[in-house]
Amino acid sequence: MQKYIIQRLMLAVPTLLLASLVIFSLVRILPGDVIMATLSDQSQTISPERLAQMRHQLGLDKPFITQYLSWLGGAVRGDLGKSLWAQRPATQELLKALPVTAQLGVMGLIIGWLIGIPVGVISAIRQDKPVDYVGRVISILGVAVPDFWIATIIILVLSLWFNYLPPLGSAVIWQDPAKSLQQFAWPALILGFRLSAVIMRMTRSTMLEVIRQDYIRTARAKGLSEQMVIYRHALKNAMIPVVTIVGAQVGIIVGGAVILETIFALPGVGRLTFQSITLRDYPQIQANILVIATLIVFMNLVVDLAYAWLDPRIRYG
Amino acid sequence: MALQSTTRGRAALRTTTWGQRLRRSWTGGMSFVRRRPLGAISAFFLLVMTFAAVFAEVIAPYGPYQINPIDSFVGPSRSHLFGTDQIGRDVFSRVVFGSRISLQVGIMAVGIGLTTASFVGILSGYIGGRFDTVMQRISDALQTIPGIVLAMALVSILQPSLTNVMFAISFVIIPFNQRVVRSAVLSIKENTYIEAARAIGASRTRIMFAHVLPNVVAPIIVLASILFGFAILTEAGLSFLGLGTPPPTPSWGMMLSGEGRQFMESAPWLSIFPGVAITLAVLAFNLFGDALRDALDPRLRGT
Repeated sequence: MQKYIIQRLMLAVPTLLLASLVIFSLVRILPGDVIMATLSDQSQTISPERLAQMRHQLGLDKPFITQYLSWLGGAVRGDLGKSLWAQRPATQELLKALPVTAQLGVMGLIIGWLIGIPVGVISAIRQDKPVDYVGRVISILGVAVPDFWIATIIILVLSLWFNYLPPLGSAVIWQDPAKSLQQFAWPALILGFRLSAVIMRMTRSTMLEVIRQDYIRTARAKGLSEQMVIYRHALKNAMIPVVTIVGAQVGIIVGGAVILETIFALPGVGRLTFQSITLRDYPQIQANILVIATLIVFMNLVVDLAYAWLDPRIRYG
Repeated sequence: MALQSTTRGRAALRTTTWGQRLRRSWTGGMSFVRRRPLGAISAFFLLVMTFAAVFAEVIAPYGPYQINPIDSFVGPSRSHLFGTDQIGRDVFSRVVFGSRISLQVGIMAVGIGLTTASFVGILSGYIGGRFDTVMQRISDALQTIPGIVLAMALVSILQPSLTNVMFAISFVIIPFNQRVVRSAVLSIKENTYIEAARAIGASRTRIMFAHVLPNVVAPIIVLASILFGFAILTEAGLSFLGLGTPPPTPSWGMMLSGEGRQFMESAPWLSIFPGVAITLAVLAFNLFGDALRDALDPRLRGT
């Protein structure tokens, strides 16, 4: 196990380094540099001297590699540059936003599991019956409905028919749980619905595979009740692969957070990233994407380790 | 001489007539309908959508850009099936023309993205070695950035336009899907017919494109169907963020996010119809993809 952990950790380092290079070049390879992009919104003309001075201040006149290495050096020490917009360290902005997205993500995941697993199980044990079709259509609806559209409809219905609007801002859950839950409930529900689609599909297909195994026949043959067979024997084994998709879902959570946080005015990482992209706040964009990438690599690592721990065949395979 | 005899040989092998073939594909199609009703309904919907996109000029009663200020904000009625928007454009006509944009986004983005992904996946899987390692590490790195975030960054730097949206989506598609193709190639590579081709001295290029490629077409088609839905949704999401197709192009995503959202309270039909169109299209592409996967890949049948 120890060897496996070390092996996986060693693989994560080059991935992250390469990701950082991609993020850094993405901003620089394409036409126009940081300064031009920042100034493009302002109509006033700027003297070439002033431009050169600004480039020098931000170190943009240095060669690409030097710039990258100095940014990377900073990143390793936890310094991801200063936000051009907020004029504060980019990490500070991120640290404020991370808990919001984390809460949204965790709530979304819980809802996703609560919907996805039961529907997946029922769909599998009643394969090709009407229940299966209905379950599958509903779960695919989760990925088919544009989230910003359904979010707008929900807000509208709540305000017009129930005269209710979720309180603005974002309350910290342990300080004001009632308010916080109200703010996060709807976006989490929409996110959870989306996440449940993948969970349901995965649960259904692994359940179908598992219920055809010999040990399930044995369990039935020894006279266990159907409930016992499904929950104790089938579901337990079917859940192992389902656990692993949590890693892939971090990407969906962040992607969904961009839109949902913007609509529900939650100051999370998604909204911050979107804002910094529209404001062309390059240091903040780089910082956000790097942290998101690190988080995804880390989650995949944790999931792989959990997988190896849950299913010993992986380690020796 | 040698060429002639091969052609004659092939003609002799191909004894089935067109009538037999037609009958066979008809029975095949009917059994698909019977065994996979969800897939069949989806296929029918997609056909209707393609029909609407191709014959938009004939189907739509008004032009998609035709302004008629007197008739602004007319609710759904007989003359305007889906109502009109703030400058009197007919929503039904715009939804019909929107299917063209959506299909265009899908075909271009998925076409470019999946072709590149398949190419990289086949090369990487078949050649292996250092080339494979480098390609897979790059793909790992790209996969650490969520699709919509990457697309957002690309479009914002390239300026929002239909072409750039399609480019961004096609780029986002590549890393994950080349991995899927690669893993299919890895298992095909071990088959004896590949070994046989190598033994008779077929070149690497020939093996990859004449023997490996036809065998990974099935998973690629399945991916394409599901990615179509993804492309349409991503275009809509980008439009909502102001990074999609610029107005007045009648893109479904644009109709939902601009005026559709603004006037949702007073004129809900502005966003309900394009929203339903997107949902149904994405749902159909996904269900059709699932049904195709079951039908094309016997190993996955029943799962």
